[in-house]
Amino acid sequence: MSGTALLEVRDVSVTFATRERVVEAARNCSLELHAGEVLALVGESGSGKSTLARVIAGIVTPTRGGVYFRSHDLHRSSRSAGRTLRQRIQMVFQDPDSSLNPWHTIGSILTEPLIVRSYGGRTAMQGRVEELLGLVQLDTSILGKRAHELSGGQKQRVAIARALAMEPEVLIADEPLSSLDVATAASIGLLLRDLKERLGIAMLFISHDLASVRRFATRVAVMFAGEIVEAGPCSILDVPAHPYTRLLLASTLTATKRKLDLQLVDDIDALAALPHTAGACHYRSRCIQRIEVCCHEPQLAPVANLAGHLARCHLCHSSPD
Amino acid sequence: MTVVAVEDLSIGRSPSQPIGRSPSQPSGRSPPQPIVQGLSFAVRAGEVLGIIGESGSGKTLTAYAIAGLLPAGLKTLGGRIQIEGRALAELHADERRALAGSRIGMIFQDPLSSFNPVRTIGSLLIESGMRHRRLSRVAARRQAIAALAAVRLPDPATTVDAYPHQLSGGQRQRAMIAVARFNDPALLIADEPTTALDATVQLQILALLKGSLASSALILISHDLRVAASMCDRILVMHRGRCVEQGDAQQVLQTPKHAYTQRLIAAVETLTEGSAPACQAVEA
Repeated sequence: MSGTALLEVRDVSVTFATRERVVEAARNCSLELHAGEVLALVGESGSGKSTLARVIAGIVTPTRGGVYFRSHDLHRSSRSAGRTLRQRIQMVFQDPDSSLNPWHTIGSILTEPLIVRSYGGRTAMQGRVEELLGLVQLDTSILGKRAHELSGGQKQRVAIARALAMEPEVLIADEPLSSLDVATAASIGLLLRDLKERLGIAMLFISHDLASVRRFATRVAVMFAGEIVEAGPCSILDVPAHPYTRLLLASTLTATKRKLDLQLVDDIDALAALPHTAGACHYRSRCIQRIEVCCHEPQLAPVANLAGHLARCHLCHSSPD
Repeated sequence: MTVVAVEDLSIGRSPSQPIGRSPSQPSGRSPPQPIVQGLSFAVRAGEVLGIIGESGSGKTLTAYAIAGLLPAGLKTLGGRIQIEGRALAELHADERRALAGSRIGMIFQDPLSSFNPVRTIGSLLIESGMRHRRLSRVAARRQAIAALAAVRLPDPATTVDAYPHQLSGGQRQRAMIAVARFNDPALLIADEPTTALDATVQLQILALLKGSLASSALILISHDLRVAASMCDRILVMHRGRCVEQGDAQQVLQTPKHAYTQRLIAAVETLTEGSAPACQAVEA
């Protein structure tokens, strides 16, 4: 792998122990994020995409593996160095209601990160807050308001502005469009793209909607059951190799799709439940194309024809015979 | 056959009783603007009507008015709602409840908060069967298990005794559909039924809803034109409490007349498709 990656996730695994069992939320995940690109992390709820995002943000410590920001280990640096590194990575959450303190005015929400990084005097901070509002296309009249007085879209813009206050090099957006209605989601999507282009920040865009990923991302990684099952430039979505990616694409609704793929639904419903056995492909129990070899776990390996296209499936690696 | 007919419906605050804490509403002032105004539509058996609009457009209130579920302090200020030819306003409260319970099935957005957490999935079905179909408890239980099997829930004989938190989001929505269609209602109302779900689960739930339509009419409420495009025969677009456009789904989506509908369609296209995806622009 090239040494130019801004951020590198190397073989990260995360396990959580509950009273009943041990959950492997992420398994051997590796990713690279380069300056100025939008990497989409796609998958269903429980696939581990948010866990991986939290590892990258420095909120969750990986059980194995590490995250390297400009070649510095994010989780094993000294306290103060880790803190400085983590400031370069900021996060925007799905639900702005629970990520904005309801008691604080928008003004103080946006000033707080500036105080943390000792931005400067009162006037300097005030100027910076106005600049941040300009970046997210909000009016200064909202500074005295509290979160509940704003619309969903305005709240998400405030959350983005707060993240930008730290002048991050990496912005992690965890389902930033999911809680918004379509019109608002479209405008926030355009805003994020605009910010990426104007500020040149790298973005990790987490989503379960492949349609918006196609629009806003440059590269994509598809996760299932804690593993990356397919990855590459967005053009892999035109030639998906993994059956889960194909299922996700088939499930995606668009403005022009007039019919539901009822055959696909029948196929999924008809699959006999198959408990996961150790050492087998994790997608086997859901796969409508499963074959005998699927009781062995496939590796994430290059797929022919497209540079950078990786998939974890026997069907696209096995020889033709 | 027309299952539900709504004529010139207006919904607003009941003048005597302000909702919640509302200090700025001194008595004796003229009644405030209705929240839903002058809405008319009809849905026939087997037909899917999509009511589309952004949050706050009044689409959910319209559905609640039909099901008799308007929150305290809100009421229908004018117009008529007829279910299978019977005008809701002319019914006694008990009759209205019985009608809603047996002829209308509701499917809400968030199945976790609309199920009672301390009651099993089956107990809802059994109570509904006993009350509205006068079944015995044993017969109602048998029917409940059959209903859970019909929505393809795994192991229905066990699921009938499960609590909502023991099911996944998609399974809960399946259970909700089982409850909604348990008494063969004439009308199903689904309020954002897939908004909280993953794409693959959304597809399965929409397919299940579509399969529930043999005899009932469906009103599908959504902010997402894509869901409406895949499901609806007709579409009604609401904006600020009024209908801005309604008609055949194809026609509304392909040749939208109202500027607001055009904006909604443009928003979906911004999100999903268009001539130059961002990734190509960057990689070029």
